[in-house]
Amino acid sequence: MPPHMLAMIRAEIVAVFGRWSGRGALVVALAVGLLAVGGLEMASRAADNINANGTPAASMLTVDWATCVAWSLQARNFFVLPLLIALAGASTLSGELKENTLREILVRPVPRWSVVFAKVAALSVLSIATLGVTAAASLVGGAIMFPMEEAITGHLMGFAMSWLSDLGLITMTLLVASFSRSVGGVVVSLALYLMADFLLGTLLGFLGQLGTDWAPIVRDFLPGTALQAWKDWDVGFEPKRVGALVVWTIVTWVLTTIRVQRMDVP
Amino acid sequence: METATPALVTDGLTRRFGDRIAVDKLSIQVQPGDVYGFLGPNGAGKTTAIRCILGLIRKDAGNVRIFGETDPVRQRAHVGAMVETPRFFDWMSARGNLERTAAFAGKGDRSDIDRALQLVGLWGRESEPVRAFSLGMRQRLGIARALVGRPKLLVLDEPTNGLDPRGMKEVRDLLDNLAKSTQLTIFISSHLLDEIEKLCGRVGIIEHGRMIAEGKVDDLVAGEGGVTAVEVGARDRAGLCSALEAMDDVKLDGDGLGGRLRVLLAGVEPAALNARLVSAGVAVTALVPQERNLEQLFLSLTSKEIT
Ligand SMILES: Nc1ncnc2c1ncn2[C@@H]1O[C@H](COP(=O)(O)OP(=O)(O)OP(=O)(O)O)[C@@H](O)[C@H]1O
Ligand SMILES: [Mg+2]
Repeated sequence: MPPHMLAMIRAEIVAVFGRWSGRGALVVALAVGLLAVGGLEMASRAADNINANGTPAASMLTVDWATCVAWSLQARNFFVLPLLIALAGASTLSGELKENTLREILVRPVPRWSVVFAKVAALSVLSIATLGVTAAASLVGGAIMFPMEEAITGHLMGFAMSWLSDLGLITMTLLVASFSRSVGGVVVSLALYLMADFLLGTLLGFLGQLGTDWAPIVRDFLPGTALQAWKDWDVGFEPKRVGALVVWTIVTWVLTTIRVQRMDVP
Repeated sequence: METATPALVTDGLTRRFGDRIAVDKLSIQVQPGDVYGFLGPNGAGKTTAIRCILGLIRKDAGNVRIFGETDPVRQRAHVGAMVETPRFFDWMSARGNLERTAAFAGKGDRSDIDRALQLVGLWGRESEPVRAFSLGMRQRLGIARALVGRPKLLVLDEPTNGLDPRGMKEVRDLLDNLAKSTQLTIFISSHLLDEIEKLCGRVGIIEHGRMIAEGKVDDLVAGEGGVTAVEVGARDRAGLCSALEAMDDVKLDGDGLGGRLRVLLAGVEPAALNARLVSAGVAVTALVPQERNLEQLFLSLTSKEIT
């Protein structure tokens, strides 16, 4: 471990937050939190005027602080923020390979694994910051707008697990990025892969319902399914999924390090 | 006399790209305090050798030692480097870029960065984003970055690329001063031969990845097998031309003054050339010896094809 590891991480944080992907992620995180507050408020007003099969829609919707936070957690992990975090990850490796700025730090007295480490650390700080902004916006906004009845411990665990999911996404992104100099290419291939993973997961789910006992086990271990580990926040986390997430994070991190260690950096 | 640990040693350094050998068993020694010029035509393998030395790319064979260190990370603790065109985070200020470097170098505080900026003449512009910098300013900032952390060995790949004549002279003076005042060892690759001649004590000339001449500039230029340039004039220019082309130790090097032909002689005395031409039936009207310099040596040693 280089003695100046902390300085390296700080420098990477400056870089990650200086790029538009990092700044954009913070802005979107704030917007997502506020949107959850506004969305719930609008939904509750609309529900007051709607009757579904004779029962008022308002009775099906709990309008409180906890719901608001739950909505923000769902919205946070829906597509846009993971995409921005993947973009930030791709920029920090593919982008730097393309721009030849990676070389300028690799000529310094640092082992390459520590450069990968600093990048992962900085990106996970970005992830924490976006989760914090979204959570804070919905917690504060929700507390002002709605009654505080239910506890939100599970919700906060959901945010914490989202960080682990992000970490997995970050190391997967870096692995793909270490093979490409195109930021867009990395994000697109990652998205295509996750789609394929989702389809495969759905297929395995069907097989499981038809009685194939290995199918659900394989499904829980797919990287894409593992990334969804946060989704179980309301029913209790599934150890198999969390375990798969940890395993995939470590595997992709190690592979990225090996790849970067061996790479010719012009 | 050789007691000091060499600043830089490469021993049999080799790198291939597919079938092409870019660096071929290259052995270099640079003593501490030397300013070493690393010369070669386009595609000779200078940048590739520098990348191998800095550990940016894999080497296929050979060893590198920097101040006696064999471990790449510890080697780089002694080195400040600029490879090809320096690249920066364009959206970041000049100072921000140098701070990033200092963070990865593990040394170099604010005053060190200030000093580097002052040395290259960018003081006062340091808070501007690099986006706004001209090519020459970027080149200087690249040199400033290489100086962050006060390295003992500076490795510069064509540092005056893109600079105007005044900028070139400034960089040359800067490097000269640094070498003299701080005992800095400098390893510098360049195309600009008169520059190397003014700046460097020793030079190595490579072609096709191989070292073809190495030594002190003065010795190389004056030494045995050294090259002389003359300008030859004759009434029958076409006859002169074909007579010269028939000789294999003589190389035509373009037009001289007043319709004369510029010729490079490898180990041939001008008088002997005259005698040969006369016996070939060419009436020589003028034979003007030119001052020898590194450029002539370089041209005579390296073939003109570009690989
Ligand atoms: N990444 C690469 N892949 C394939 N061939 C390469 C690569 N890098 C360099 N080469 C080849 O290696 C040889 C040496 O190139 P290099 O850039 O080291 O030359 P150079 O002496 O720095 O030239 P110049 O003066 O033009 O900068 C060239 O033939 C080049 O085509
Ligand atoms: Mg070059």
